Amino acid sequence: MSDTETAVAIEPCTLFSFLHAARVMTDTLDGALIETNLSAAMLDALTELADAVEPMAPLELAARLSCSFAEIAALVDALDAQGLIERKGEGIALTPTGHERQRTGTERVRAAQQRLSDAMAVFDAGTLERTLAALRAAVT
Amino acid sequence: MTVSSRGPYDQHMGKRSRKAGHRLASASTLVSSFLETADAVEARLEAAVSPMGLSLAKLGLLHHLAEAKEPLPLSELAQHQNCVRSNITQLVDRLEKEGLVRRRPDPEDRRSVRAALTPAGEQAYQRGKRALAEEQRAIVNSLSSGEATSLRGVLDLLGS
Repeated sequence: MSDTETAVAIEPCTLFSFLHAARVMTDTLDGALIETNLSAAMLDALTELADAVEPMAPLELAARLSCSFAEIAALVDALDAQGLIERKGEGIALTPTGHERQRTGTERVRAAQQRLSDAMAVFDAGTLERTLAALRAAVT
Repeated sequence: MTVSSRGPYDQHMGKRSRKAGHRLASASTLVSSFLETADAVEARLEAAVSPMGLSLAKLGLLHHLAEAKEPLPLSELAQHQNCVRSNITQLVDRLEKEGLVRRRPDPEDRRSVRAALTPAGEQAYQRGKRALAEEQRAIVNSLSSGEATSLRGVLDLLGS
């Protein structure tokens, strides 16, 4: 197939249906957390703290989550307001409620992931991965 | 998976990085790969319209107004763009400052305001639309014929 034929095969703007599908996936993952009163970022923070062997400094948490100190400060405040974390010296740690919420959130996100994976079973996994890799290479 | 057909620039309001949050998604390689690819595609398309002072969110709103061919209530724009009213208000503020839209009283509801496309807004929309189409062609043309065929298959399945 020539370049011209390729251009005809993929009409302009069809990549937006790809972006829309990604949006649907993100919304599905976000939706899984609604009843837990957590955002995805909050669950990520809880998971980092759950995996830590000792209280973690907010700066380290910010680095692990790749976000700014201001963002982590707001996140910590939100978690604190729900009683999910406690401050211990310079660090922060999960409360028992925080541990429980982290487990519940993780279970729900994993269930949503499974639903998405099931939905994607219509694709041949190898072909899809190669197509995605080619598309990533084409745009970067 | 069924993905409803959408306009080309829809739902780019209030978008957040798909990589932020959902670190657990890495447990599902394909889902993670799909979301990372979408981020990369979106960043490339944003970069294509950025030199014109546009963004996908701005184009989405201009597109909706251009398609409607009439001023629209901000509440309808917010619903269509899948974002809260305050986000649309800020976006319309910016577009109005740039002379691309203007607010008008709603003749049917004195408490409501409508956004109208200006001639400059129509021109900006057409320029942005062309830039996006060219960028997408460039992306697709850089794929091999086999990769393009696979992508076409994926898009067809997503739309079915």
